[in-house]
Amino acid sequence: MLAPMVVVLAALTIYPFLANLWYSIRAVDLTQPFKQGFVGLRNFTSVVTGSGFLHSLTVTIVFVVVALALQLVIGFLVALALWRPLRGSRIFTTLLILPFGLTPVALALAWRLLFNPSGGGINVLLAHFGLPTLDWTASDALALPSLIIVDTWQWTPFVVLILLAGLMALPKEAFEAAAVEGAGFWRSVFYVALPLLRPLILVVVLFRGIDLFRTFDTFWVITAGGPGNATETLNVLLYRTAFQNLNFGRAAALALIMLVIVLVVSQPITKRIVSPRERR
Amino acid sequence: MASISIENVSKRYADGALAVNHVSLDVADGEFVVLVGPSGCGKSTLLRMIAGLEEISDGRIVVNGKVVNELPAKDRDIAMVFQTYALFPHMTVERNLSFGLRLRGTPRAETERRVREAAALLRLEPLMTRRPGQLSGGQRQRVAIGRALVREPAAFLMDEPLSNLDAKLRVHMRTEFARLRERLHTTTVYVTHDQVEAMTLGDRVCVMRDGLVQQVDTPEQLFLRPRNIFVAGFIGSPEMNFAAGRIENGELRLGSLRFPLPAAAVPAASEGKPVVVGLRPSDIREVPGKDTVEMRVQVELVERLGSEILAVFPVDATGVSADSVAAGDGAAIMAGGESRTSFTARLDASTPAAAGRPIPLHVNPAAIHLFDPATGMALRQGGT
Amino acid sequence: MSPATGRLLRTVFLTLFCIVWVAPLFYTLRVALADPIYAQSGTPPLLAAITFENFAGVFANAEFMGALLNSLIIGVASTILVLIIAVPAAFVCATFEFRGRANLEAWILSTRMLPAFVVVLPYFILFRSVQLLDTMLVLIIMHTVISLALAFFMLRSFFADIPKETLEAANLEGAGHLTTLLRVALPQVRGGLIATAILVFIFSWNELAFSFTLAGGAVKTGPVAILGFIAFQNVQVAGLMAAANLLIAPIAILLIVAQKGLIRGLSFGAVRA
Ligand SMILES: Nc1ncnc2c1ncn2[C@@H]1O[C@H](COP(=O)(O)OP(=O)(O)OP(=O)(O)O)[C@@H](O)[C@H]1O
Ligand SMILES: [Mg+2]
Repeated sequence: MLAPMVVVLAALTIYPFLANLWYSIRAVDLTQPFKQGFVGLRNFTSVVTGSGFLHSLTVTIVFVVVALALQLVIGFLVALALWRPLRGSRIFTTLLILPFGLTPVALALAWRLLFNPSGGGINVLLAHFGLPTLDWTASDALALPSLIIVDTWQWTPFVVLILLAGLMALPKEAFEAAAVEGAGFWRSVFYVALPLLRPLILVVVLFRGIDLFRTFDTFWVITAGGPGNATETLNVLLYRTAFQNLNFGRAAALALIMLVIVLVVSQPITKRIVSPRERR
Repeated sequence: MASISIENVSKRYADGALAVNHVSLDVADGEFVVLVGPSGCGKSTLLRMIAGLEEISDGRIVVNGKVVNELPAKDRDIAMVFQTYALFPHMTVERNLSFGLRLRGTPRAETERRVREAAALLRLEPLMTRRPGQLSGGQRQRVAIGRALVREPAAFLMDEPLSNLDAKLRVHMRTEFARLRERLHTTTVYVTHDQVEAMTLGDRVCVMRDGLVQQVDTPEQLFLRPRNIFVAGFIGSPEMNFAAGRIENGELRLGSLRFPLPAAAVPAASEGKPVVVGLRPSDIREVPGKDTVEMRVQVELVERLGSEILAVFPVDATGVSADSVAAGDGAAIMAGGESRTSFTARLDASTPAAAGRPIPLHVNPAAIHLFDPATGMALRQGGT
Repeated sequence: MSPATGRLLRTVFLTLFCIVWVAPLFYTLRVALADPIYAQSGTPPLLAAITFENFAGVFANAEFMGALLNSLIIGVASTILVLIIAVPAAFVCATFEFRGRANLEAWILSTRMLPAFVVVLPYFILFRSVQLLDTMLVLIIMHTVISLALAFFMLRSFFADIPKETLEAANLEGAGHLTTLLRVALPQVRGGLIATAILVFIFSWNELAFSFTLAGGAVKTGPVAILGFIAFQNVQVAGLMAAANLLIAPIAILLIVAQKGLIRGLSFGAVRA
């Protein structure tokens, strides 16, 4: 009964991997169809030494780390606020599932409109209160922070719900014991809740981290990597190399580099998620 | 109908634990065999191997002369009642009962007839359209039995089917089981750690400990002639009294007490050696009888049970725990320790026993059990 | 701080959070309902007159409605395929212990980590060579593949919650593994199965990367079609927002229906909420 799954997934992973390997050591440039053939590691060196790569790597890392940190901190605070019984908390949790489930393209379009320097919702609001308006996605400096805002808006509720579920499942006794020992609320949060939530926080870090690394829709719709290449993540760079420059050989090399990054970073946490299944 | 033969079967789990250790047991056609033993001794594991739910690491299981080691559970024609009942929560009682028959393609009329019969037998008729979630524990239990019955399987396996019920219901269901047993005479292996269930239901009882079979015998024999100190301590309530004694000149010395032993009953090799003395509370009497030895005891504590009382009194001998002897630490325990322990006697309620009061009690030396302190094996089996 | 003050502070904090979080959605809806001329007149959208004209325009747009229909077909087809493939696999992994299971699961999980573009290139070349580019079929295949890991882990966690004895009992009653799965296991995880199906459908509906690299010409999905709109310079924001709202409306409903299984699914069974 496992066979169909294994076969299909093998096709998903093994074939593209081998194909990428094959293309990555060859010149496959659709704009120069006659210059094909073996080129050794030249695709890899040209990716790594190319001006865009280091920049894109930096943009990607900044995006992943800053957004993840924001989402964890805000998410944890909101989860804490929802933790103990509160009237109406069901409405809050129902509202919270909307942002991360709705079509990213549609939400990105909404944010594009909100960020619009002239007549966009945010600047209209700022102007209304007499505050200075900003250029948001149109400026080199603010484009990446703007995208971080969008992703944080979209995904913090997810973090809230996961951490909330974790908090709810914590043994009450631990907190009662801490209270008896004289620990106040924040102390018991830091010394009791956080350590107990560690496995769950790892889960969040893994899934959010990977998804942040893979984010494409938001970038493509809101900035398309611009202005200039201010928000060109590895993913956007890959897309451009493959489908705008049509340099498949170099794109394959970049894809393999990204694959290695993903696997190396995610492997330790993946193991932890898969193995402790005897919780029931 | 089926005979089940377990031949030298072992189970080693993936983590290396040896849960069942070279067990052999024959269950005759129509026989009701009970597996008892302390928690974790491998009863469920053995049962699940018979059912085909657990792989057999070593040895073989033969049903009706056919080795079934490789036969999948679904083809073994065996029904099992689980401790948790394992009813299908999404099906009505009726569908739960008929599930196996429908799978086998039994004709509809036949299925209905058998379901109706089982329902009548177990008084399930008013519940047929309910789901397991809407039933009480005892009702679920009856459905689980019913599901096993309707298929008229070659054998029943039951894994602590009564342990989730409250005490009163358990007694009630125990009698129901006894009645069913008389009526159906289907080969049954029944797991429990309640010795009353074991003694009342089993044609034979198999006592297990740490994956090993200790003794397989009828309930009477198990009670009267336990093969070793573990069985002696496990069967019977209150537990048999144990203390260190010594055999000298054909006499058993237990602290300051002397019991003459019939010459034939004294194993030659134990002369002058320490032995573990076992005496059942029920073998201590308040009235003298033929050949009884009197002991004057100072009662420490009296527990009243209604028609009987339990009197606890001190004995000036070293106490011995059956578990530690069975675990092989017997010799060390015999060597030292305080020479004072408590014995319990089960007496008639009219006995004028009260704490702090001396009374005479009587023991027939023939009822005394003697065990080898090193191996725990019975040197001589008591019983009158 | 008294408990009452604490509750008040928490409520205020949460309300603020929700306002900030819901505002963009509300803004989108409000723009979609605004008289399109507001943009030229410089009126803030909140003050613009309300009209359903924009939605009417989107409904009348055959291309966009066609794209939504494509998305629906692709979503339903890939959801069915995903369930057919993932249900048996998840059942086996949840109920049987076998060598290499942990490695197999780690591998399945890792397929979920790949950025779409890392695999899209080989597929592009492959599907081009068999002339499947820009067809429904290619998207059905890809949308099936991207959701397999998700569906597998989600279903596995639901299957793992079934009391194992009911499956063993079915076995003893004479049911083979397939019968046990279909007649005993699946009915017990019906809620989880529905939640999984909904989530897989949502993933297909939302998917962009494959939809516009492997198709996007003759066969457009909703997200691709809406992206096409912004290519036209003279597009009305109000109309665009109406289309965006139409794209997310069915998903919002499905999300609320499936909310119980959502977090469990998205955390791959790591969170049982
Ligand atoms: N799946 C397993 N993997 C490893 N060890 C197991 C497994 N199942 C049972 N065991 C071990 O095998 C031994 C026997 O277990 P078993 O369930 O047969 O005991 P039991 O006699 O039925 O106990 P109880 O009366 O508590 O039900 C125990 O030590 C148990 O820890
Ligand atoms: Mg057991």
